[in-house]
Amino acid sequence: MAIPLLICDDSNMARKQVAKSLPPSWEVDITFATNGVEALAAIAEGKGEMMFLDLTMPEMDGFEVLENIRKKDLKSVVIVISGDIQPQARDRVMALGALDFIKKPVSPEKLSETLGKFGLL
Amino acid sequence: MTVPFANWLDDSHRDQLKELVNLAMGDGAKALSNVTLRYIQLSVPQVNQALTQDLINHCKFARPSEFCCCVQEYAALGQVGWLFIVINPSDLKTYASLLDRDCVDEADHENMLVQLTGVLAPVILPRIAKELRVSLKLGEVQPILGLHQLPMVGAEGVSAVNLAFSYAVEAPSESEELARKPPVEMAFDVIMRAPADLVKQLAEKFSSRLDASF
Repeated sequence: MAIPLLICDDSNMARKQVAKSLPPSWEVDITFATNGVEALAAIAEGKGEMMFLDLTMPEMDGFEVLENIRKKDLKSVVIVISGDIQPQARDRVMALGALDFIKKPVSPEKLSETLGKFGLL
Repeated sequence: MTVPFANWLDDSHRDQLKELVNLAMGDGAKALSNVTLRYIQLSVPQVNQALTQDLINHCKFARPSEFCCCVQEYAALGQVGWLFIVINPSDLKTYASLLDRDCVDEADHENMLVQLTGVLAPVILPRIAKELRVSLKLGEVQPILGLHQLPMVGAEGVSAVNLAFSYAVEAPSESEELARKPPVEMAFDVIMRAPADLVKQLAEKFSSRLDASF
């Protein structure tokens, strides 16, 4: 059964890049969100069992999304994909419950490696 | 004076340029964080076509007090562009205090402007060049105190484009090392300004490079 996968990034280009980097054999049902508000709504509808999340976004940023997921006890496995490569950003998202942090731009190799590391493939 | 937007600068180009700036902005934040030992908050990048006068107006409105900025010249693909660091003098003073430096007189202000630019420009601009696989050369750095000193950079380019974002220094909390530092409030803008032709070439290179990756 396909995994409901949410890709949240305010950049259309970045969303497409993540989607194109997914392992071809991975069975997923993809939903896109352009900011944190849309992402939370999608998760509430069951469309974000797994999520690739950007941090710097309008409306609601990635940190706030993680905080809300925790506060509302929503079910979503989150991997952050961001250009904010400050160690504090990584520490902060991990403390907020993210599974891992990947720096942009993401590559198919890095994405497969990360998914494999957590037994998600 | 109203200047029509270049007809090539559509939403797709803006999106590509924003994502390109996003990567460079992250590298710049890391460099600034290393110097200040603070977490640097990032803004969503903006892409706008603007005249030099618009830049001046932006600075006036963004910073109601004195105008204070530093211009880093750069050259890429045979064209010249400019990176502006626009900061309120009081924020510059805060930045100096984070580095245990004084920022009292004009010479101090100029030194701190050059120092801050020296932290950011050699990281932000080369990251953009790296992503695009183009050669980029850094040129002169010019601290500017007061609008009267603002050179008419880009004045010839009615179709110049500004790629702008902000940094804000955050009072830290997570790290023990950072938690010992007192909270501060400091923010400033970074504007990468380039002739429209150059920006168009950069956007197209970024797009084709990413397309070629898949």
